[in-house]
Amino acid sequence: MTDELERRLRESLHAYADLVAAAPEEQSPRVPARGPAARAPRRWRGALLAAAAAVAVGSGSIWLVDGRDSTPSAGSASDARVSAGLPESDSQAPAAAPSEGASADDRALASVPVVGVGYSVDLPTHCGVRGADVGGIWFAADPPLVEAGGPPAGWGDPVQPGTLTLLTADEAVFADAVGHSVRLHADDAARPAACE
Amino acid sequence: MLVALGAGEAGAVDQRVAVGAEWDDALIDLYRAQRLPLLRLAVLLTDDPGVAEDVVQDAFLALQRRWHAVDPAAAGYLRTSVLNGVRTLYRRRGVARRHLHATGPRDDAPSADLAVLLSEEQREIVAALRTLPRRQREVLVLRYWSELSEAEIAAALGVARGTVKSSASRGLASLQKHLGDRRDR
Repeated sequence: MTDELERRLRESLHAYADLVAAAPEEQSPRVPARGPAARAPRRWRGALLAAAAAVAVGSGSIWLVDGRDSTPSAGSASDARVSAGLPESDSQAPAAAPSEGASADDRALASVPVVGVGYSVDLPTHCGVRGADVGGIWFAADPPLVEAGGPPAGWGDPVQPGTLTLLTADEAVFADAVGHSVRLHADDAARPAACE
Repeated sequence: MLVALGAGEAGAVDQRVAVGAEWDDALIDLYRAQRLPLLRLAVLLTDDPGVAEDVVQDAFLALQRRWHAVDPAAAGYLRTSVLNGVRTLYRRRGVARRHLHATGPRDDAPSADLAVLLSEEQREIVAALRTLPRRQREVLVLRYWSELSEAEIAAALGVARGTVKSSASRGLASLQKHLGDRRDR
């Protein structure tokens, strides 16, 4: 019976997948550009803006905001990864101020975190110091600091204010005013279950 | 509550990153070779070609950002990136749906359902697959479409092999029950 089910499942999955045909015009990736016209449409953009900001702590996400602009750099789930994730080759100028008339997308791209710059953050700690989602990339604490399902004594709960600094594209360090210091490494495979 | 605030003191820019990565020929070749299978994987997990396309594009953008540090034969990296992208998307969509009370038409409505083009039996299977918990569906798709081993699935999903085994077993049992129930009606 299981063999028969496996056969049918395999056949159905292949038939379903084969319905996705190659698009001949898609022979190269869409390189992100500093203009909305060149960006892929993000149909969920508007729906996520307010809610994502409201639950940033709960989801363990860190949203980086350019110091010159109070608009969150996360225009959408995907933009968040671009804007607050690893530095891009075209983003090495330290968070350049957007030009006059720049779109929201331009401002988001302008606030890409830069290696070596310290960003004030509230590190989520409610389920322990496990790491943080920096714009869609999970940076795991090394080592994680978890005691009885929460942060060790002396840490804030649900968050600990401090400064997050990217040391390289894959390494970061969190430090705060009371002497806590945690190294973090980009490791999406280590992303833990959501903290309830 | 928005947690992050303005930039603090500036420091030196790391040169390894400052070099950056361009869309060189190897990356373009990888895109041409992997885009379609990744797109199909994402559709099998999301049922939405539009969303799948975005997830795959994001996976390549993530790869481009760390192209200097990733094995050029990065199919495994890309697959995991797509899986994480789908997971992140649905987690955030779930959050949005819980917190938003939209009065207008939803702008995250799925694209046209490709599955209507399948045979009746295949549609039944796909419909049953859609009822499974996310993890079980991921495991079954990776096992029976990507043809990955238990160990490869465990690595791709970042879970133990035992979890893969139990998820596959439960998923198949649920499919069997779902299909049986439909026949009994």
